[in-house]
Amino acid sequence: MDPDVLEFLAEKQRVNIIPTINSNVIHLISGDVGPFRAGLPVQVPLWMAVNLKQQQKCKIQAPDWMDVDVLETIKDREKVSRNFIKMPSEHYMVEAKLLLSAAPDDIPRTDEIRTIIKDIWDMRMSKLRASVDSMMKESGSYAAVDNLTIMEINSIRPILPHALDQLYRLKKAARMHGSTQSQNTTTFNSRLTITPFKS
Amino acid sequence: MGINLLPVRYGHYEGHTDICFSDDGDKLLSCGADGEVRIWNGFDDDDPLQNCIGEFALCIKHKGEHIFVGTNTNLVQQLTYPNGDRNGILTRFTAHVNHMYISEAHNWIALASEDMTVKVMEISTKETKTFTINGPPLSVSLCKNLKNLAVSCGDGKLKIFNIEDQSLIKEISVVAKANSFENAKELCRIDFDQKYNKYFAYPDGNKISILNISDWNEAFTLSTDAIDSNYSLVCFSPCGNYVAASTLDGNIAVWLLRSQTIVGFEKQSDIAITSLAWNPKGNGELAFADAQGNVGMATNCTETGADEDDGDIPDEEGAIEEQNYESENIDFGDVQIEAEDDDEDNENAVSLEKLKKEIMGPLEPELEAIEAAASRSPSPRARSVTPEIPLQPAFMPSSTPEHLDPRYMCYNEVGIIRCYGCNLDDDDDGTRSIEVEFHDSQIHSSMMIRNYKGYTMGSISTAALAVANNTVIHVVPLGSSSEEWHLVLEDDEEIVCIAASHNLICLATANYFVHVSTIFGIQKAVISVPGPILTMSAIGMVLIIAYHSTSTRKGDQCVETMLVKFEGTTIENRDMKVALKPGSKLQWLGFTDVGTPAMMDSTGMVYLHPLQCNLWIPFCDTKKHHKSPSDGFFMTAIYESLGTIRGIRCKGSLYPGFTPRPTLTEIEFQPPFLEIGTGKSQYESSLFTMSTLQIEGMEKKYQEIALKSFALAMKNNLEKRAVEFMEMLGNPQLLNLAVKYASKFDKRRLVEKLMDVASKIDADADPPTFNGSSVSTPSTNVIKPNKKLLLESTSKILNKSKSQVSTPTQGTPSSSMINNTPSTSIISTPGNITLSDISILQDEPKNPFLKSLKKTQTSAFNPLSLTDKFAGIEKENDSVKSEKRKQPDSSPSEKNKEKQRKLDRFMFSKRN
Repeated sequence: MDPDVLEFLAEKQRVNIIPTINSNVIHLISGDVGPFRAGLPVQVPLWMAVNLKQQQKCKIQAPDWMDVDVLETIKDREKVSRNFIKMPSEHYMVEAKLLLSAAPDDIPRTDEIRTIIKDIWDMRMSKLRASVDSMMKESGSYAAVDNLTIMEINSIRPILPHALDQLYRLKKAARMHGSTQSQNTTTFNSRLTITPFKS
Repeated sequence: MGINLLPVRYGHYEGHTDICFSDDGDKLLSCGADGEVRIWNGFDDDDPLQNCIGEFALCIKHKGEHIFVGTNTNLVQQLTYPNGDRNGILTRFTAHVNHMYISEAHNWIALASEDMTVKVMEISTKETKTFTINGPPLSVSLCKNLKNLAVSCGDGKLKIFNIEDQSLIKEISVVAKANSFENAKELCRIDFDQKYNKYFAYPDGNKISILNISDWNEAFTLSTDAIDSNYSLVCFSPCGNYVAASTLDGNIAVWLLRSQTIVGFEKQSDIAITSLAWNPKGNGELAFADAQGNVGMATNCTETGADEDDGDIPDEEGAIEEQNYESENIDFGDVQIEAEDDDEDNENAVSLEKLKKEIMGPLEPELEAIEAAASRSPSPRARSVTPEIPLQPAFMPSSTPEHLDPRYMCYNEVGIIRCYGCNLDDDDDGTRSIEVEFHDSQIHSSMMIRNYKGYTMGSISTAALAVANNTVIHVVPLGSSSEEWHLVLEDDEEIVCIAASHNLICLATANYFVHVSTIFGIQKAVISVPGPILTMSAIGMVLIIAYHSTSTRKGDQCVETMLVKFEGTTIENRDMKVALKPGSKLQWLGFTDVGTPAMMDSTGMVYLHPLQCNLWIPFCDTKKHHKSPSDGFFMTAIYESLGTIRGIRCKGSLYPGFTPRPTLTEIEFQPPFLEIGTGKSQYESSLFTMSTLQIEGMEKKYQEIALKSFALAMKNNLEKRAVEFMEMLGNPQLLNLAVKYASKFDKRRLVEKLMDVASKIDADADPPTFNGSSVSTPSTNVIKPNKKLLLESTSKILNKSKSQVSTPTQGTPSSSMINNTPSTSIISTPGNITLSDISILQDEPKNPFLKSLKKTQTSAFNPLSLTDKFAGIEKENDSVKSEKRKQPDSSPSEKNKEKQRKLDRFMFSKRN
């Protein structure tokens, strides 16, 4: 999956907006939204919030966690903890990106928030890479990682499973070493570049 | 042995100094040119209590719990006794008070001020009589029975007035002329005999003249050869037997009145004596103060007289005793009353004394006397005069107070007017601005106005923005902002409140006038309001004005309202009283969206005034929604059609802040029925709400709740109540449902009774008694639900429900959609179409799948409806379709696999 798809998924997340229009209930496949009463907060999907904001038809209320102080504590905890800590939102990166770009005037201290979220992201990614690295070095074949968000998982998605896959095959090949060369020639061929290191 | 003069001691700076004894004679009180009040614990006290109350103080007197001091600030300051703490102001003058006089016998005080007025005032009630004289008064005196007032005046006259009719009784030219109190040499202090109420004494050159009060003729004069300077002060002893006088050169002389013989005289120094005071104990102590600020004391002023005349002793002693006894008695009573009063005033205070009294019965008299004496000497708490509760000042609804910056000028259903920098100085006006924001951006976009004129009031409607300060109102019509206009008031008028509606701009002035204009500035009307205007609000052509009808009634604000309609060129009015909770103030006044007058009081109760009921009904207690008692609810609008109140919950304050941006919340109406926690009361209160207000689309809800209520009564075997309930509602349709419901539960008697009720109602020739539909019809302002749409959808549902009811299986999703109400079970009776379609009607707007449901209904067969959960539901027993329904489950997994394969291929290809 690529980030666009994830963004699409994240757009189902609900956020609070203050509409500046009056409108009846909007019936959608995923459920009803509204009614919209000017000035009164209402919950809508993220994509609709962004869309309405672009049309200047609402003000977006930042989610509770999108606050400098809250994020600062999350960042500190993330720094101290060896493991990943639970993020306030499964799609925090997408939400932050969309909301901060769509409604910088509705959310106070956008720049700081953006920086902190980026920091958190970097921290988590380096943590993730480090743990993958150690796993590889210790030639472990599996590891349990909690509290990763889908975007983070996705960032190591193509490379890690494939790397593990390759390792597995190499190991398998090594185990078979000595016996007759294996069945799958294509695989074997494709591994040819790597095998010298291993054997 | 004559008068024994103790050495004087320093009291105050040089200047006019006044001295008096406390009522009980234990303490000396003095004030002087340094503005200090000193409380001497006896003449030997080296460390008197002192309190600075001004630049100078001219006179001091004590009565009961208060010390009264005339100061340079033109007022009579009250201090507590004996602590000397400031405790309010007795009265004010336009110039300083020269002299005052308090008689022991009554509670009146005479005050002479440099502004040539003399006031005679009752201390506690402040009932006042004012006398005007023609010069600066030097001295005043009151007689014992409060009949006469004597004033010595700088114009040379000594005047005696009758207090009752304020007529002049006698005028004597005896006073040395002076143009002001400061310049007067002779103070001409005069005195009435307070004991026998027989004589009046005044200094007359180098003798003292004594007048008979009865005929105002001179009885005799007192003088002595030893003193030839002019007398300045005269003072009767509290026993009434002696007269003390002092001269300008510091002589003090005492005469025995009866024999008109001098008891003794003594000279301290050459300094003029400015004040003389006898000790009320009657022990012959005479305190004085001189123009150097010294305080002195003469003792033994009476005893020699007693030695000379034996016959006086018992008489005098008796008099003294009597006096002591009297004063004790008075004090005793005072203290007791105060203690009781205190407890009664403050219900929450737990008084140990009171508890004791209640439990142990009344104390023994001796104990009580001791207690009274004990409680008198240390610190009898000053009884604070309960301040009058002032009329609530005028305010603008939904605005925050003016001392806040930034503040909300208006926060109503249309928009928000914010005001920045309103408290800045005039030269800073560059930073003062007004920001207008509309909830609905389709009405108008946001505006920003420079607030050069310091507008403090604002009102916004769908047609205009109005802002005003005290003299100018400025209106911006939203339709064409180029046609701005303003009105300037005349000099003697002042705007206290404004209101804007879709058609009107109204402004109320301090002269109790309300001026009404149209949006584009045609002055339409001016009306007069019978009282000080408190606030007002407008909707459409209607204006509501709240005003004070009378002064406060034991802390309650007496507010009334006028509902004025300005249709075309006509004016119609309707008066309405206002029902506020005890002691509360009006906090919000306005209209609901359908035009019902509404208000909120300071206890957070919201009232509506449905016009057909013509009374105020409490509809919501916003306090109940608070988390802590210090929270407030800042009301912005009421939506009657939705049954909600809209406002901002303010944590720990009454008013919303600016950052973070406050969020509006909605509170539902819930009339404060008793035992509101129970389901029964909740049903009843919501029935009450729906039957009195015009809530949009509430017919179904009304029927649902009515049936629930009925079912509740029936289930609890309260048949009479159930019948009574149906009788009360008198709705044949509901009755029909109730009968069916009851018969289902086999309540034969109930059914019979209900049938009786039904026949009675039928006999009443179907008068349109209350039912849901009749209520939602009136009023032009209601946002009508889209009837057509509603009908369409219901008819579709109806079709469906018919088919459903006819099917034997009842566990279909459609019946689970119906609320878990007692009425749902009725559905199982086949053929009961009316009932089932009602219950479906009830749930129709809540069903989020309505649209998809309809779709599957209308299109005969839609193979593409994979996402629709209810596809094929209506024929669930049809195996073919149920198979179809399974299909979506299987197909996505296949799809996924394929996807995965594709992805794999993609990955590999990438690799390669």
